[in-house]
Amino acid sequence: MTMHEFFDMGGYGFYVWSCYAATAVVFIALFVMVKSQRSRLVKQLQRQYRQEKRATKEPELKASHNAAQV
Amino acid sequence: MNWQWFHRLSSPKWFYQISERWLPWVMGVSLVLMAAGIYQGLFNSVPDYQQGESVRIMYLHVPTAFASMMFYMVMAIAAAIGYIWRIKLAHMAAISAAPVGAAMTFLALFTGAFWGKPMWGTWWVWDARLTSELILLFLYLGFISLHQAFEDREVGDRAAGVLAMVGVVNIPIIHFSVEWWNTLHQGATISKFEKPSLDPSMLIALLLMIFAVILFCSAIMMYRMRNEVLSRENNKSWVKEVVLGKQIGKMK
Amino acid sequence: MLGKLLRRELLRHWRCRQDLINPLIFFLITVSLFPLAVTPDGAMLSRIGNGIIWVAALLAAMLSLESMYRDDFYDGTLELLMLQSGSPYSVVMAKIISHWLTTGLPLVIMSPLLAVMMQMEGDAIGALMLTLLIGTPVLSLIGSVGMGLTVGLRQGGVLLSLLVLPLYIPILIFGAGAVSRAAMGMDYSGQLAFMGAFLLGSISLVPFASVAAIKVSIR
Repeated sequence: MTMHEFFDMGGYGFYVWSCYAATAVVFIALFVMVKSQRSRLVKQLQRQYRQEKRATKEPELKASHNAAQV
Repeated sequence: MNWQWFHRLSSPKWFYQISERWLPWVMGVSLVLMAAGIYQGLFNSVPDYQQGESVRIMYLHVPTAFASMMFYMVMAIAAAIGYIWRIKLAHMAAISAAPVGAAMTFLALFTGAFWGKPMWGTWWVWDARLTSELILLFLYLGFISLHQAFEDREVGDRAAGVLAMVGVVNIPIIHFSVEWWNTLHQGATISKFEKPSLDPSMLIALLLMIFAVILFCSAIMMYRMRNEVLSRENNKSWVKEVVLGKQIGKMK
Repeated sequence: MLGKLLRRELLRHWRCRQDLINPLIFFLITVSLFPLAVTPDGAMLSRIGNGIIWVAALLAAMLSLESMYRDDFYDGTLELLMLQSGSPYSVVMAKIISHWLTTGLPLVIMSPLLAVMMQMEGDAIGALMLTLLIGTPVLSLIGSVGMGLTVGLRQGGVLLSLLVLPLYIPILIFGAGAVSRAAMGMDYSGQLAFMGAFLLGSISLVPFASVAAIKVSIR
């Protein structure tokens, strides 16, 4: 089997390779999407927890800071 | 009767921890099987005596079509369990299965069209299986859009649960009526699309790909579920530990 | 109880009569667009007329679902009825029956007029009316579940069609199929039997799903 024969697929090359390419794209997209969703989520939660921590630790400080600004 | 296992099984924390251990294996086995299946399908199996090399599309079409139906059932059963017993984890499973199933339905349609073009001479044929697959895509899209339309996720869960149960009752009816409709209009369709007689080498490739695709979809579904768990349980202390622990690990 | 609720529903529909006429006008306009878009050729129209009329009836029935729950949902009547009347199932059934009486039945009565416009013959017109008579209650029943789920949503209209239309497919296939068999002079009692089965099946199952759907929306 030569290289050309393999890619030609008995004349059906376009159809066969389009299918394999589309499947590869969708599978990779599913994986990438779920991973980026996760990193976005983790970042957002970290920000949220940091803000919560600040809010509970130093409410007085923050209040005075705000007052000074005003 | 001891129901402890049931509650443990439905605990998001338990799922998060167990999936962390399982996921590399599920994903790894899936990728190995997929590599083997693609090798077997492209290099090591014989072409069909009628369809020639185009039969190699089958190793993508059949697994994705199978997964699309299987994950609808998974989604609907999970949604029903979530609705009836009010289990949050089941709802998360349902909403995580939906996009994966919809993607598989899309692929089954895509590969079906690209297989149909050389075989039938046309991109789209109103064949019973393709039509059912198209309707399945509509059902998935309806489920996903309904869930997203609610601002309150828990309300969306319950609404989607009702829809999934209605859908499950309807699927056999829809399938049957599409089959009936297809036989009625048989004259219009070209039925020269016989099932290829399966050579053992083809069967091996097909089975490898079916298992690979199902495992891959399950892995993606589990990843999605883990994200859902983190985002919904965000005020639990264990989630805080997981998220912040990661940050500390990075800083070291 | 059912009688009282039904009278209330019908009275409510009677007070806004214009809303009742709109689906019928929609039905008429949709069907008359097809000869303009496809062909005024009589032979062609009589072949595709059954499908066109069925699809138009289906869309008209779906568009009129809004009137079923929306007003009662927004002024709180629906919640009150579901909680206080003691039998949420009769509330739902009264709404479905009145929806059919005010939309489905007029569509059935109007269908021969459109069938004549589509150059259909006597047998086919009879079959069309008969299938619509059995089929439109199923449309109202299934539609009530979709409407119950989307009633609280702002962009509910488009979503409703996405949810409900796939579920309408079996009834469309058998309804239009029966008419085309009748047009060819064949027996269509089998299709009618299936449609009757769909009707009985949905009458027995839909109220539960519908009540569950509304409970999700009003909580």
